[in-house]
Amino acid sequence: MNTKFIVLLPGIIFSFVFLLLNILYTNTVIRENSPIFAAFIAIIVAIFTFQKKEIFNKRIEVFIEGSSQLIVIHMCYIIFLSTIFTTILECTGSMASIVNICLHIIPTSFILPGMFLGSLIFAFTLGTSLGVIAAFMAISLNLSHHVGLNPSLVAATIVCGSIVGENLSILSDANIISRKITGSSMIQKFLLDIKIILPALLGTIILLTYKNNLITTNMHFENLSALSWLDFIKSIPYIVAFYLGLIGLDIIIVMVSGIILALTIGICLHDFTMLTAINLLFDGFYNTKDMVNLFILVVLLSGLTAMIKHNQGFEYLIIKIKNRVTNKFHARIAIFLVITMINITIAINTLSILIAGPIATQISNDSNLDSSEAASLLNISSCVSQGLLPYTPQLLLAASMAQVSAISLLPYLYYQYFLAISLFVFIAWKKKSAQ
Amino acid sequence: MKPNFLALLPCVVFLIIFGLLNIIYGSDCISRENFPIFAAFVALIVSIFTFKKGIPFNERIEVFIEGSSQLMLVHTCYIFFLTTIFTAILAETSCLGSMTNLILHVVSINFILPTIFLMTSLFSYAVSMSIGTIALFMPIIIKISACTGLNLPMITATVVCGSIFGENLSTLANSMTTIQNNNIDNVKNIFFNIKIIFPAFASTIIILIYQNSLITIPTYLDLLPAISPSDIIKALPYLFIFYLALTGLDFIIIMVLGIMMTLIIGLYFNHITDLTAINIIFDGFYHSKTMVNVFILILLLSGLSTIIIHNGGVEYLIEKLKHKIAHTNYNKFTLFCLATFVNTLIAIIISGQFVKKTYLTHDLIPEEASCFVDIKPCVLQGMLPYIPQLILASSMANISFMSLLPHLYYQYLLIICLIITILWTTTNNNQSCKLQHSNGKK
Repeated sequence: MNTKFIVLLPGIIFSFVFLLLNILYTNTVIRENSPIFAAFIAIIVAIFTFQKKEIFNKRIEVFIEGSSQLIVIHMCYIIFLSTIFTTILECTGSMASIVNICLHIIPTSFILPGMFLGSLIFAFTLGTSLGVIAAFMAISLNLSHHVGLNPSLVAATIVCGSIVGENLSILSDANIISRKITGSSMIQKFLLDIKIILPALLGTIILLTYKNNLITTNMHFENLSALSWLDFIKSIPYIVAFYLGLIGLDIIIVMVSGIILALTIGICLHDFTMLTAINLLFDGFYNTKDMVNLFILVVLLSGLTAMIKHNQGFEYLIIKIKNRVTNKFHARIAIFLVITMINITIAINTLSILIAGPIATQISNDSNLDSSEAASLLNISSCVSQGLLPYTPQLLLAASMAQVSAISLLPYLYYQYFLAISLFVFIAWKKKSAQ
Repeated sequence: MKPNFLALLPCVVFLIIFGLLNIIYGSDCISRENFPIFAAFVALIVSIFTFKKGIPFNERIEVFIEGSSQLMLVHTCYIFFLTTIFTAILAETSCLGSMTNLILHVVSINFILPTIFLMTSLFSYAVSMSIGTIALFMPIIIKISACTGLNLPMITATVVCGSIFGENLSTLANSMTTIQNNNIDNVKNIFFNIKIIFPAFASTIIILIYQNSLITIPTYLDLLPAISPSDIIKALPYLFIFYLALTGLDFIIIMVLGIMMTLIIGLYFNHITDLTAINIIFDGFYHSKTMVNVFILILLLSGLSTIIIHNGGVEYLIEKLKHKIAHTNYNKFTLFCLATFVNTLIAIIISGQFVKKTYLTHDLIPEEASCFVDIKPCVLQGMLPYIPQLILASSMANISFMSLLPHLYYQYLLIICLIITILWTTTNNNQSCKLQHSNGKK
């Protein structure tokens, strides 16, 4: 077994190059492209970390296999479709209508918590944070523009909301995988999740409401137009998408139905011609450069992960950590560390859980830890790091849609900090009660 | 997989919409590059409803995703991504100009068409991928055409022909190894294939030479800049990847090495700054919209074809044709028609492989028939106007793909050769059958 440190190198190089580029070049052009460049370098390095006897074509095959996983392609389609959906909504003026309706319905003192809860519910029903961020960011930005909120704060709020939702959702890939691998029951894991998440959730809502009140005093309304019937008609695609998500359809179906409806409404109301509608199906995606960027990045990163995994790079981590596990308390810390470190290197939580899952199961078995607790720890720890790393798809997506740097979101990710605290308190409290 | 006509509906929808859009928006001022994606999108929506009734929607989507996440497909997508970056960097560092200059100096203008044909077929043979070859050679070809005033559609079609011929040959080489396990006399099989391909190949070369001689050589060719040492250095990446391709490395590795080398040369000659070098890794791909388009199109189409196969659409075709032509002597014609149909309907890169699989399981195959499987897809792959190869080539050259059709000599000649062979072997078989019968009676 190859347990050399060098195998982990590509993952470290990726995060290192990314951060370096962000420090060296502070202009916007490089900001978008730095993750892909970093991934490119890391992949080249990764090719040389294979064992010597493996031929080059085989090494590439490992890379391709990693990129062509179902989860990855599914994620790519979500990026593709949700971008088209939001672009069409913007073209038909649906976006403005929805924002208008939201401003009428939601009291201004509750806009931030409202965004948080809205994205939470949507992510909970859909089980994917990426799609929710893509769908909600556009509206939230419009809203925040109307009331003069800080775009970084808004982006961070949406990211937090969608990550809580994904964490709790029984449909999310991360959740399903963590349950399957550890073999735990759904209810027990859910209850445990709630125990850890609820304090963080309440804390975030209170803080957001407080923040909101601070800002409300100097909020200004730019000629808010009265609601018309047209506004309601135009917001139908969004409402339908929300409803379809609630009844548990796949997000791809949700998005496609939304696109069809939005196009139909757009053509009926003469917002655009048939030809524009045809072109929107590709141009809607292409014209949002960040999305194309993200699309490629997700594919590259998953390939990179597969190479690190193939070379048993994570074995190195595991052996280092596993040797020190003696009791339940250590086991909990160990699971947290393993998943966090793997996620730091590969930045996609579902894939991290896939890799860390078997190890977590092993650790929990060795130390008699409850399987649902292991699953819960896996899932929640992955969410903490997923929301805090500036190069995860979620943060990059939100940041690029808000046209701010991903690093500028960091101070506003309240939920992630609360969750981390609540997780530590949970672990510490368990230790105390055990004694 | 039960035979089911309904399963084929998405294909029909795709074809109709694609054709219709091209007719309705026929004027030149409208860009037509988004039409295939729109048609695929509509066909996909239709295909979701062609599943059997009991299957939940989420599972239907899963079939689609599974189809889009095949190894070979993602591999192709990567090659798009990397070749585009590579050529973008070449253009940025003016390596493209140097290479064009070098080619025009080395190759006599009287043989430029056959040379391009041979060059692309050699490369495509080495990497066994026509679409990658097209992506790689088109930029240079466009430049050459601009310098020499050669007919752009013709030269583009030559690249398409060459790369498809090369892929054709390398599929043969591959099948040589796989067939060994199938108890088929592989030497005979290869010879049979060569018998079909070679006349087509030879006559293509002759036609190209003839076409070449018709072209009047523009006088300003004499004004070509002389070759400087830096030209040769700048042409190195191209020569380098050519060499690597011949060593049998994976296309992806070749491209990555090519990209790195070109970046270093560009940085050395100060054609690009380090900032540009960082950005071009993504921007190089993003700036050629065609590539992003084809990238998505391939993903969508393969998902679509998987749905069709899953629902038994292809089985239906096979059943239909099998019943219609029961006579054994027409087996080859059946194969021919089948391959044509399947390929017309599912005109994407994976069809070749799929066709191969279907025939091997349907024991219609006499020894030689495997070659139809190899050759047929290649013929059509080069002739249907909506297949990735032609879309790619024509949109890179910024011409309509219809204008390429008259110049696809190799494909036409191959078809003629194929039909002649079928007729010839069928009559031969008839005679041998009769002989066997009479022998049996004795």
